[in-house]
Amino acid sequence: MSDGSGDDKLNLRVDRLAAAMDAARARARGETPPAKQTGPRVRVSPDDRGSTVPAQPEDTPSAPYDVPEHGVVRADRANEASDHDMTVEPDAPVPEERVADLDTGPKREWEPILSEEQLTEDAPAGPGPILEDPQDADVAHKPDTDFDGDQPPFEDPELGGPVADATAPDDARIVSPDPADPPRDIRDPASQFETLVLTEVAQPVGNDASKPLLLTEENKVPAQAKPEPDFAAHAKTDVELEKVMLAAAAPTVPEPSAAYQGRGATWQRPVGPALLSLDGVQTNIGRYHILSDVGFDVPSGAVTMLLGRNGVGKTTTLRTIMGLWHARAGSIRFAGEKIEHWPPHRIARAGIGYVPESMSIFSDLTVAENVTLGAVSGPVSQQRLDWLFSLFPQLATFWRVPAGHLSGGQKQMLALSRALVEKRRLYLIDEPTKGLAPSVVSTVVSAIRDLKLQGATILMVEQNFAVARALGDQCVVMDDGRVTWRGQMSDLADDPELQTRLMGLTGDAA
Amino acid sequence: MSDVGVAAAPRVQNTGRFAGVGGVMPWFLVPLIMGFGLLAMAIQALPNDGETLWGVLSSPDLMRARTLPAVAAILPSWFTLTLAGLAMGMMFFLMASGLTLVFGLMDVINFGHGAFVSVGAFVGVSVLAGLSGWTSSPEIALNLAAIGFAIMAAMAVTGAAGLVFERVIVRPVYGAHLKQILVTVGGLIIAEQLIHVIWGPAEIYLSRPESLKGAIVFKGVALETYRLLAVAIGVVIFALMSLVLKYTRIGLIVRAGVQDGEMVEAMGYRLRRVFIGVFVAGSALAGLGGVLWALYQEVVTAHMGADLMVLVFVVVIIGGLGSVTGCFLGAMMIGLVQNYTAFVEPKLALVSTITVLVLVLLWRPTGMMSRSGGRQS
Repeated sequence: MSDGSGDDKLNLRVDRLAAAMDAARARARGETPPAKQTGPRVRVSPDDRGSTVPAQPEDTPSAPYDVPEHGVVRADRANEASDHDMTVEPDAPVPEERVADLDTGPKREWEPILSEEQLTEDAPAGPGPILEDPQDADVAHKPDTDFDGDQPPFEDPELGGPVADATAPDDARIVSPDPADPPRDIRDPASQFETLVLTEVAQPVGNDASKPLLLTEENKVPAQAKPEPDFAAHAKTDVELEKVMLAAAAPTVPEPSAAYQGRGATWQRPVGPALLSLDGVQTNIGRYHILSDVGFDVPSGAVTMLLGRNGVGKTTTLRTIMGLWHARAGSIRFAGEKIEHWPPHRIARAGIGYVPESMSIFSDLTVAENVTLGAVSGPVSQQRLDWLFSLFPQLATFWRVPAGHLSGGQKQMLALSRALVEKRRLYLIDEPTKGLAPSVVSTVVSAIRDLKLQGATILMVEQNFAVARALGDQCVVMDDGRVTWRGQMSDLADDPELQTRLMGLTGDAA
Repeated sequence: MSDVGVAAAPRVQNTGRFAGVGGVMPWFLVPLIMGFGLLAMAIQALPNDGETLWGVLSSPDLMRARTLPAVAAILPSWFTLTLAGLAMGMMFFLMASGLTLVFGLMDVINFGHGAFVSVGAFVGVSVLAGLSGWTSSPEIALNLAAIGFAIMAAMAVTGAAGLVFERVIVRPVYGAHLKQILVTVGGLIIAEQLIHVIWGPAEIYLSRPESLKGAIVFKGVALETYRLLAVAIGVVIFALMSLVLKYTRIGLIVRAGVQDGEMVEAMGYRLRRVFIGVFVAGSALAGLGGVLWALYQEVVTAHMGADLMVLVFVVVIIGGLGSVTGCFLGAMMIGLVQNYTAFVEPKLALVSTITVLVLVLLWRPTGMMSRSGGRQS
C-alpha cells in the first residue's frame, strides 16, 4: 500500500485527536456524546464537496455514509436501526428471518472490503464517503471516541494517535456494504475490529454455545430506547455480544463446560494458584534499563493479559521469562522453581511455549518441518495435528510449502501452531494480532480462545484492547518498565477512566 | 504496511523474480561453466600453425571448417580437466562445508579452519608412511585400506582438535566478530607452529598408493584414478550430509538454527550442544579434505591449510553462508574454473576465482543459496 498521502494521514490523525478532545469536552459539559461514525475519513477540498452522491434511502440499515451535514442525524438513525437489529430480547428466541439475514447479508456484502482496490489508499472517493472538512470537524467528526459515550480512545499502536475502540456491532451496521465505498484505513485497529465483528456477525446466531451468554442480566436492554439510546447499557451489551461472537467464531470451540453454562460473563473463571510469578524483575539491554521493577503472577488456567503502550517493556518481560534476556535482579518462579538463571532451552523444556512478536518462522523450512520442530519431546501427535488443522486449515493446504512463502497471517498461524503442537503448561504469546488483516485476526483470536477453553494458562501481550478484553481474565498493565496495575480484566474493561489513566491518551497528549 | 494487504488475501506469494526457479538456478551454473570451458578450449584450438585466432574467427568459411576438428581435438583434454576440476571441487567442498555450517549456526567466523586441513594432512601422511607396506602393494584393496585408515586417523585427530579449539579458542569470543577473527587467526598460527614442532619444518613428500598412481584410459580420455576416488568420496559425503540435514531431527535443528538460533533455543533445543557437534564434524571433514589434498598434491606443508583458506572462503561466500548445497556447488564452480583457466590461459588462473566471486555476488549479494529469512532479532 503506498504511502503517498502522508500529509493526509497526518491531518487525519490531527483531526482525530481534535475530535477526541471535542468529545471529551462535550462529555465534561454533560452533553450526550454524538454517535460514532465509522469508515474512513476522506479529506476533500471544499470544492469537491458538491460532487458527492446524495444520501441513500433511509430505511436500509446498511445505508452508506451520509454527507457531513447530516452526519449526526444519520448516525442516530443508524443506531435506531441497529438497536432494532441487534438487541436481543431476553426471552424471545432469535427469529428465523434474522438468522437468515445475518447469515447471508453481511458476509457476502463485506468481502469486498478486503479487495486490493479497497486497500489502496489512493482510490478515488466513491459514493457517499464521510467527508471531512476542517470547518465541519466539530460536527462531523467527534465520534471517533465511540459508541458508549464515555469510553476513552484507545491508543493505536501503529499510528500512535488516538483511535476509537470500535467494537460495537451496531456501529458496524451503519457502514456501507457498497464495495465502491471509499477505502478504509485498515491499518486502523478500530476499523479492523469493526470488520472483524462484521465477519463474525455472519456466524454466531446459529451457534448454540452462544445462547447462554446472550441471555444475561446485562442484555436486558430496553429495545425501545430509541431517541436517546442508553449508551452505558449499550456498551455492556456490546461487550457481551463481542464475547459471544468471538466464541462463535471458532467452529471447533468445544461446548463450554458445565460450570460455564448459564452464567453471565461477569462471572470469573476459577483460577488456580500462580503458575508463574515474577518479583522485582529488572532487565537491562546494553546499558538501558528496560525493566525496572516487574512483578506479577500468572494464575494457572487463566489468560493473563500484559498491556501497556509501546516501549514499556512488555516484549522484554516475555523474553526475560524465556531467558532470552537475563534478569539483572529479581526472581522468576515457574511451577515452584526459580528459573531466572536457566538457559532458554531449559525453560522451554520446563513447559513454556513461546510465540515471539517477530514470529521467528524458519522460512527455509517447510510448514511441516516448522511444526515438527515445535514438538520438542517427540513425534507430533496426530490428534494434536488434527486440532491445529481445524484451527488453521491453511496450514494443511501449505503443509509442504517453505514457510517463507506464506503470507503474514499464515506465518502467525504457523508461529502459533509451533507453540500449540505440544501441550505446554504455559504459553507466552506476544502480540498475535499485530499487523494482521481483520479476518486473520478473528482466526487467531478464536484459536487462542479455543486454547483457553481447554484450560490452558496463557500470558499474552496484546495492543488491540478489544481482543485483550475478549480473551483476558486477568490483566497486568505496564508503564515504563514497571507494573502499574494488576487485576481482573473485567474491572479494567468496565472502567474507561482507568484505561485512560493506565494506557490512554493522556500520557501522549500531555 | 503492505503486510496487511498480503494477510488479507491468503495466498502463496512470490518472494522474488526467481521465486520459481531461484532455488535450482545455481545447479545450472556448474554445467554452464563446463560448457564455457569447452568453448574456450575449442576457440583456443581453432587456429592451425601460422594462423591467428582473429583470422579464423573473422572468416566464416574457416570457422566452419575448423570448428568440429577443434572440438574433437580438445575433447579428451576437456574430460580430463573436468574430472580434475570436479575432484578439486570435492576437496574444497570437504574443507568448506564445516566452515559454512559453523558460521551459519553460531555466526562464528573461524579463520583457524585451515589448521584442521594441515593437521589432517600431516596425520594422514604419517599413517600412510607407517603403512608403507600396504601402499606399495599393487593390491587395490590394501591401498584403499591404507587410505581409509589414514582418513579415519586424520578425522579422529582433527575432530578432537576441533573440540579443543571450540572450547579454548572459539567459546570465549561468541558474538564478537572482530575478536573471532583475531583469535582464530592466532589459533591457526599456533597450529602451524605445533606442526613444525611435531613433524619438523620441512615439506614432506609422499607418493600415492600404487593402484592410484595411473590413469584409466577410456576411449582416448585419460581419467586419473585418484581423481575418480576423490570425486566418489566427495559425492558420498555430500549425499550423506544432505540426507542427514534433510531427514533427521538433528539436521532439522541445524537448518533451523542457521536461520534463527535464538528461536531454536527458545523452543527447547540445546543449540550449543548441536553447535559443538557441527564444529567437531566440520573439523573432521576438513581433516579428510586435508588427507585427500595431500595425496592429490603429493606434498604436505604446515601452511597448506592457510593457503587453501583463501579458496575455501571464496567457496563459502559464493555458496552462501550456512548453505551446504551452495557450498558444494560453489566448490565445483571454483574447481572447474581454476582448471580450465589454468589450461587456456595460465596467467589468469588466480584472477579467475575472484572473477567468479565478483560475478556471483553481483548476481546474489549474499551468495547463491544463503538463508533467505535471515535473523530477525
